[in-house]
Amino acid sequence: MEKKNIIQFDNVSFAYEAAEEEAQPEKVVDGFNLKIPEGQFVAVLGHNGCGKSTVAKLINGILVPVSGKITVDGIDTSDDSRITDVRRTVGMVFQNPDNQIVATIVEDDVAFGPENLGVEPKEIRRRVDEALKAVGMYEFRDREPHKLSGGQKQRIAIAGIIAMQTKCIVMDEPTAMLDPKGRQEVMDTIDMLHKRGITVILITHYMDEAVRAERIIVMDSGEIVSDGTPKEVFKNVEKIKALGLDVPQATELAYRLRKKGMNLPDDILDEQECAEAILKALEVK
Amino acid sequence: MPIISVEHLTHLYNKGTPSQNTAIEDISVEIEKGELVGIIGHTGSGKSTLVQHLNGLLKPDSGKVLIDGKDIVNDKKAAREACFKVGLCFQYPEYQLFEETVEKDIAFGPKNMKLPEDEIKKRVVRAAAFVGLKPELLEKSPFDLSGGEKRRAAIAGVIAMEPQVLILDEPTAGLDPSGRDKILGMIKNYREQTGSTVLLVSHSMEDIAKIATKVLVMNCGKIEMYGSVDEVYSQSGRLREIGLNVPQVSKIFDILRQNGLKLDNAYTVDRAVELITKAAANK
Repeated sequence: MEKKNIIQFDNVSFAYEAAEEEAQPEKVVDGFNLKIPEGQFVAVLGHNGCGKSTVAKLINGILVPVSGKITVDGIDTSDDSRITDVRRTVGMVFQNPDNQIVATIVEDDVAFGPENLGVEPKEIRRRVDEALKAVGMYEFRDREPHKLSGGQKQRIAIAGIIAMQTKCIVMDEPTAMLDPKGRQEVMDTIDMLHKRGITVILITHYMDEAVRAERIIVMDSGEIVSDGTPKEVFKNVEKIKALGLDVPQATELAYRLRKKGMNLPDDILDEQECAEAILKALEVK
Repeated sequence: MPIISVEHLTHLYNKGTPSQNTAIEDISVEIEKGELVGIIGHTGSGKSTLVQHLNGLLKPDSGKVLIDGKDIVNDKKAAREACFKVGLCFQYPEYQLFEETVEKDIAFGPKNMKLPEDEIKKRVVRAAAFVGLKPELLEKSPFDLSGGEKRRAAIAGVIAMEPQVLILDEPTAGLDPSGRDKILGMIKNYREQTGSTVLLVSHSMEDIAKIATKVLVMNCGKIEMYGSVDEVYSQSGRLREIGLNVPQVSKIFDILRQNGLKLDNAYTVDRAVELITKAAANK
């Protein structure tokens, strides 16, 4: 049986209000359609200003469409009376870890979300402990968040969402401000969320993060210009580059060698595949 | 004579309190004029602390910093000169834009140098051109620019002081790939055209491999390695131990070599294409 769509955009248009009164508001997305089945791990790529953050904000009702309809787990995000239910379903993590910590103690911060949802104190305690263990931050539960590293802060933010038990989590460049170790920690946490069956929507500029997703959506000028598995999407090296994006180095290397006449497959993503294909082409193996 | 000379530099944060910690310890390094040095290391390794000593923003607890041969720790006049000789551009510099127009913001540094008006004007135009900001943007409020433009405007503010040493702390963080490539290209051009020394703090081993002439690796407040890209990147095992990673291309080359292919090292896709094409031709 096909999984149901946890997120569905039907013919959605959205425009920010124009700064000057006489100016026409410019549509960021226009007639936008998207379906995300429950449990999918989706990466969204696109250069700055392509509308991907707008889409993220539309998903959890921070923004509502000017026309068209967005449903989250069957709930219409434009329905004011159900906005709490939307937020219960979709959690968000933003780029800057310092902007999303609200409490002075780690466990208080994680408890903030479920507290606002009116969860029983006993249940909050259980959820906070479980969430902190899930992101590997349990031993830091009585620390002050501002003394933690960027990667640790992002994991606290993610723990806060796990504690809310949302079915879906949207992350807008959660690793942009982190060092390689912090990025690794957050990516491992994302894999863990995915394994738990949580729908993950990851907006990123890092291609090595995108290849870990099941599906990649590439956006340009408010439209989806490519949608498929990482292998399908990165196959079109020229198209991706023309959009001001990158492909993984292994993909680029294989692509350029192929153009020089080497016989290599066109769907290479990781280093092992790439090296093996080169060895085969050179008849070393 | 090296343009930057650091001798036995130590810096403690929260000195004399229970939370005292040593950010950098007994660091010595000499950087020659005209180099483009990539500085890497995980968060807390002391990169930012080190670079903030180079224009006198931080004072060491012990040790010396010489810029162009002059001691900027003990000599007050040299310390003041260092503020202009060494231009430091922080992480997320766009948060520091504050003036009414982009032009005024870029002119802030040169004004503080007490340069004549017409010289300031020239420098603003030159700096804006360097970072690729269109002249019509100069009249705008910095807050009306896009993220990438704001970043470039902030960098222009440092470049307008025409420092002999330009230090950029993660200038590409948070930018999309094309924004990142623009900034990297600009840094490379700046060095080539002005002969300035550039220090580039980055988390991206790929970016550093593309443009650096030397690489400085920091770990736990010490200098772990300082050498050419090849000297540093060839030690992938050690780099991994200290939480860093080599570019994907070098991993591919490691596997190729393990399988008996004789190849030199490659850290960029350009170089990798060249070497493999050569290997294929020699078959």
